[in-house]
Amino acid sequence: MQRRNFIKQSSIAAAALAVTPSLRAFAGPQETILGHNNKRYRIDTNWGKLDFSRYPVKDCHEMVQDGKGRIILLTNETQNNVIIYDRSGKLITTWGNEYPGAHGLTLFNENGQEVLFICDNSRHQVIKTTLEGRVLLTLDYPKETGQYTKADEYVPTETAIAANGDIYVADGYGKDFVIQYDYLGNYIRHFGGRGDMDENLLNAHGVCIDNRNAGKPQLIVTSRQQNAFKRYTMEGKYIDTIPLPGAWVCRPVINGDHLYAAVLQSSSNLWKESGFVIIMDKDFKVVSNLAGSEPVYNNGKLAEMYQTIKTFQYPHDVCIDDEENIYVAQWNSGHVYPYKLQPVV
Amino acid sequence: MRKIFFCFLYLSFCSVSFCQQKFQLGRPLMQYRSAFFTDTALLEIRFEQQGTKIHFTRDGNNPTVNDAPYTKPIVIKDKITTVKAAAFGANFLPSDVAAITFIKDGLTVKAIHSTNPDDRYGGNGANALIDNSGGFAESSAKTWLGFKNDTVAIEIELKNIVPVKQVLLNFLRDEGSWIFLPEAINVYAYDYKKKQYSFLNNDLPFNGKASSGSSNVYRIISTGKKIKTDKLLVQIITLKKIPEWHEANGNHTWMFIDELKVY
Repeated sequence: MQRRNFIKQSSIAAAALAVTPSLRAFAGPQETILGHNNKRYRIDTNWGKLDFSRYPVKDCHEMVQDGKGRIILLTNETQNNVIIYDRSGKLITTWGNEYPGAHGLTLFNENGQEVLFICDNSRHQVIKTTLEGRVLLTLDYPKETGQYTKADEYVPTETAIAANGDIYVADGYGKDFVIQYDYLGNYIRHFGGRGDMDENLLNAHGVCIDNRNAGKPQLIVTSRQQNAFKRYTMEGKYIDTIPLPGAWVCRPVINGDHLYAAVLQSSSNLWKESGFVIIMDKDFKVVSNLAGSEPVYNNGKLAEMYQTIKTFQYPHDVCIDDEENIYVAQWNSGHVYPYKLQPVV
Repeated sequence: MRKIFFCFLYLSFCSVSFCQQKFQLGRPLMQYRSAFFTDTALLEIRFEQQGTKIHFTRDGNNPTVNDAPYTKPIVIKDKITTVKAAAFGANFLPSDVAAITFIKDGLTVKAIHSTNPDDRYGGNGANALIDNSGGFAESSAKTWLGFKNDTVAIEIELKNIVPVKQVLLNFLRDEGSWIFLPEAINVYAYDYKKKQYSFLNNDLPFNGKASSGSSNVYRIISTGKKIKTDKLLVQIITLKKIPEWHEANGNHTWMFIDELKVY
C-alpha cells in the first residue's frame, strides 16, 4: 500500500472509531481472535501484570482456581512462590519463599477444606499445604518403589488427587514413574516409567483424573516428549495412547466436557517460543488450538499441529475459571505474568 | 487546522494500537519424507491459519509477499535445493522463515564404517549415513547418529575408483540440547602407492557463536585437487567443551550427524 493511501485509510478508520467508540468493545475485523469452532477467545496480555519490583515472577508454572473464585499462581520465584489474584487480575495476597523448584500445583477439596499440593523440582518433594501456605504433609523421594537410590533421581512435576484422597505423583523430570499413595502418603504402587512399551512414559509432565465418565474415573498422564497423553485405570493399568502430533503438551486440565492443555512448544520449531494451547472434546478430539493450527483429521488421524500465531512463548499450564475464562501461565518467557483469555460468544 | 488534523490522527493511532495488538505469525510447517533423496523429493508446506498465505523461494533468499505463493507440493530434483517459506497476513507481522535443504544422492557407496555412536542415538548404525532417510531437526528423530567421543572416524568405500570432488556432511545443531557442530572435519583419500590415507582438506564448522533453536546444517568439503579414489576417511573432531556462554559450559558436547554424500 502506498503511504498516501495508508494515511487516507487510517484516517477513515480513525474517524469511524471516533464516531462509534462503543464498537471498539467488540471484535472488529482487525482484532486477533484465537481458536476454532465454538472455542474461540479474545486475549488480554495485561491481565496479571504486577509491580515486578515488589511481586516478581520467574517461571509461571501452574495455576488453579479455588472455591472463592480466586486464581492461584505458582512460580519458582522464592520472594512469593504463590500469588493469589481475583478474576480481574487484581492482587489479593502472596505467600511462600521456600519452594525454589515450585512446579506443580493441584487443588483438592478435602472434606470441605481446600488444600494445595506443590511439586518442588529442586527439593525433590511433594508438599501439601493449606490455602494460606501452612504445611500439612511432605512426601520425600519414593524409595519404597525400589526404583530410586537417592532424592536427586526424583524430580516430581505434578500431582492428581482421587476422590478418596489417593495421591498420584508424576515424576516427569526424574524417572517418569507415576507413584500412587493413599491420602496419608503411604505408598501403594507405581507404574509408567521409561521404556519402549506402550505403557511407558517419556517426560511424564502432568497427570489428572478424568471424571467425565460417571463412575468410571481414569487417569490421564502426559508423555510430553512423545507428544501424547496416555490413559490408565486408577490402579495404573495402561488403557491407550492419545497421540498429539507436534505438541509438547503439558498437564491435562478438565473443565466441563472439555480437556484443555498448554503446549510448551511445537516439535517442528523447537526452543523457539512456539507454544500454543489445545482444547479437546469428550472424545479426545482436538476442536480448537489457541494460537495453533486449525485441527485437521485425515481418516480419523490427527495431522501434525504447530503454532501459527506468536501470542505465547512457552505456555506451561492453563486454568479454566467458573466463567470459562482461560488463564495461561508461561515458562521461561521473560518473567511474563499470566494472560487471560475470554470466550467469544 | 492541519496541526489539529495530525494531532487527531496521532491520538487515533494510539487508540487503535491500544485495542489491536498485532502478533507475529508462527513459522509454516514443512513436511517431507526425507531431506535426502535419490531421484526426486516432495515438499508440502502447511499453514492452517485463516487470513494468511505462504510465500516461498528456492534461491536462498528470504521470502517476501512478492515471491511465489505456495499452492501445491513442491517437487525437488536438483543436487542441493534450499526452500525457504514464510507466512503473511494483513492483520499480522510476517512469520520467521522456515527453511529446509534437500540433498540428492551422490556416488554409490559400497560400504561405510564408523566409530560406534552412543547406544541411545545409534540409528541404524553407520548405514544410517547413506540410507537417504532423515533430515528432521529434532534430536529425538531416530535417523541421527549421536556421539560424545572426542574424535569420530568414518571410512567410506566407493563402488569404483572414480574422480571425487566433494564430501557433504549434514549435522544437527541444537545447542539447547548440548548438540554442537564439530570443531573440525578432516577428509583423507586412500593412496594405494603409499598404502595410507593422505590428507585432502579440512573444514571448521563451529564458529563459536551461540544460536537458538534446532536446525540442520550441511557442510561441503571440497577435495581441493583432482583425485581418483574408492576409499575416503572422514575424521570429525568434536567440540570437547561446551563454551562458556552456555549454561552447561565445560561439559562434553554431543555431535549428531546424518547423513554423508560423496560427489
